[in-house]
Order: sequence, then structure tokens, then C-alpha cells
Amino acid sequence: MVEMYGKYLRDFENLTPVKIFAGNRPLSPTGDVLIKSTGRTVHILGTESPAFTGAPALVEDVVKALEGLGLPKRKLGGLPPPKPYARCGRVVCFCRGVTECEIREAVRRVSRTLDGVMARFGMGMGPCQGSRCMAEVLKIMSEELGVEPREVTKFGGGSWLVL
Amino acid sequence: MARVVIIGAGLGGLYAAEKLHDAGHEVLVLERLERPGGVWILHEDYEAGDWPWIRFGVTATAIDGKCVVTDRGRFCGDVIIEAMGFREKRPAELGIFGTRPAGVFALWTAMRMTELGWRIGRRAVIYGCNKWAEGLARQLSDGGVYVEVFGPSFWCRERATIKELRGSERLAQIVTDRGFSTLIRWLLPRSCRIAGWALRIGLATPPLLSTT
Repeated sequence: MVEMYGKYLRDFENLTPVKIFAGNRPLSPTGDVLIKSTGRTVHILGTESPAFTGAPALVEDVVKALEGLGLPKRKLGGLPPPKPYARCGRVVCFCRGVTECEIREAVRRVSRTLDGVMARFGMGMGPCQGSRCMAEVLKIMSEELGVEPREVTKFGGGSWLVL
Repeated sequence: MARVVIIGAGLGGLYAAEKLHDAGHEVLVLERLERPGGVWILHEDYEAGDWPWIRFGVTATAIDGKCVVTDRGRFCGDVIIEAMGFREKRPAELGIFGTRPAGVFALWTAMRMTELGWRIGRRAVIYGCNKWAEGLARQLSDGGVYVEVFGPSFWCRERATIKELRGSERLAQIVTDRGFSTLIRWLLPRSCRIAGWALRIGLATPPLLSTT
């Protein structure tokens, strides 16, 4: 991989990767996005990376496909926009500039696990990979949930963090 | 005579502050935590003092020209020195890929958790063998954690390279290049354990699992 793609990046040898990902994804045989309905299912294939960006446009085609299947169309009331998090207090995560208030608010709203809180703000995905904020987040969480730190888990179940 | 703002009150930051102060400059050190020392304090027995030229609990988030942007406002000076040199290796640099179960901590996290009075587990493996690993090992064993230290470098007393971390919820097993490895918790069924065939396959079998 380094040999193949190294030439596309300047100064590749001196770069330090923060994270490396690998995975499989299906490619569309036509080379373009393939929207296909079978029975009562609509498949969207071969979107590759711009799936998220292209979602609003893809939805229109999916709605057409669903209408073609004879499904009734209902108009839903719009969801209320999410309330923004207030930023105040100490900055806990300096890679992403996440403040203490935001973390407390996230715990109060919905997040119950360490991964939940950290993924909400993209903590642990910056250059320090969560090494500077994890302990602080755990402390704030245990305070906000009103439990001992040993009762806070990484992602539920038996994923305890400290004794 | 210049006004110098130093980010980080670790060894580097404090040494630079001392030298610049002696040379007659005005020095201000910004520190994220409530104590100086950074990663160099692995014991709490440092002398607490009053240092008006260190501002604690100030997290720098950006540098804007000759000013440091922090959560407590802007700190401006003629010179800004970043003394935040310490960082851990990232997963890709370590060569340990895959997802991380609970119980895998960076040095800073483990250190800070211990400092806050929490035990990070009953048994711990410290990967890497430098001053900080030594300090952390001492700190953890003081807190009653069984600690093993090994690493991939040639100066390590115990040399081994971690290939894989296993465990679905909490870290259960570490696979190294020296065969089936350090067991943090048994994955094997109880019958195997009683038969004893799988014992003593680690680098150093923890005393709780000793066959003798």
C-alpha cells in the first residue's frame, strides 16, 4: 500500500498516520449509483464515498421507486432541529475544542457510555487519539451520572474501565 | 527583554521558563492541568508551591499570530513556545490494528486515571520500556496492580511485539510474536484450566496462575 500510494502524497515517509482504515465495499457494475427495487425493498448500490453527501438527491429516486411499488405516500411533520450544545467552561479536549459544559450536557441528554460521549464530539479522533481527555471525560461522566467511575463503561456490558 | 508565553508546564516548558527568566525575560507558562510536571510526574510527592508565572487550568486551543487562544482568553507575548512535546505512538505507528476493547489505555490516560485514584485493572501489561513505562509500572504496582513490562525495542529486557488485542468487551488477551501470550484473563474453558495444559505459555505467567 505504501509503495502504491506513497507517490501520491508529498513527503509520505515523514507523515505519521493517525489512523488507518480498511474495508470492503460493493461496486456498481454500471459504474454509477444503482438504485434497484426488488419486491418491497429498494437497494442503493455502489454509492462509494459520496453516499452521505449524495443522500438528499438519492432519496428523491428512492421515493420514486417506492411510489412505483404502490406504497402510500404520507407527509410527515418535520423533526425539530437539534438543540445546539452550549460551549462554556474548561476545554477538556484540545484537539477538538470540546468544553466541559458540552460533555455534561451530552450526558444529561442521552449519552451513557464513554464511547457515546466521545463519538458525539469526535473526541479520540484527533492527533492525540483520546489520550489526554479520556480520564477527564470519565471523571465528568461519573460526576454527572452520579455513579462511581467503575460503574461507567466504554460501550456497555462488561466493558468497565476502572476498578 | 521579551514577553514569552510557554505552552505546557512539563520538563521542557519549565526548563525553558527558567533559562529565559534567568536571561531577564518575562515568562508566562500555561498549563492544562492543575499541577506542573506534565508526564514527568509519576508520583504525587512533588512539593506544592506558589508559582505566579504559571497559569493552571488553561487549555490552549490555537495560536493566533503572537497570541495563544485558550479557554481563559487570549495570552499574548513577543514569543510563543510550544512545549507539548510528549505524545504516545498511535495505533498505526504501534502496528496494532483492529478495534479496541475497554481496558486499552494510552500512557497519559493510565497515568491520569491512577493519579485520580482509580485502578485501571487487576493485571496490566505496559507495552514499551522507557522511563515513563518504568514510572507507570512503579505507580501501578504501588496501587496493587500486577504489572508486566515488555516492548519491541532492543533495549527492552523482555522483548516481544504485540500482534493483536483480543476481547469483546474488556481486554482479555494479548497476542505477541512470542507465541500465545500474556493472559490477562482466561479465555479458555474451565476444563482446560484444570487439566493445566495451557498454563505457562505466556512470557511471564502471572503469579495467580502459577502451576506450582
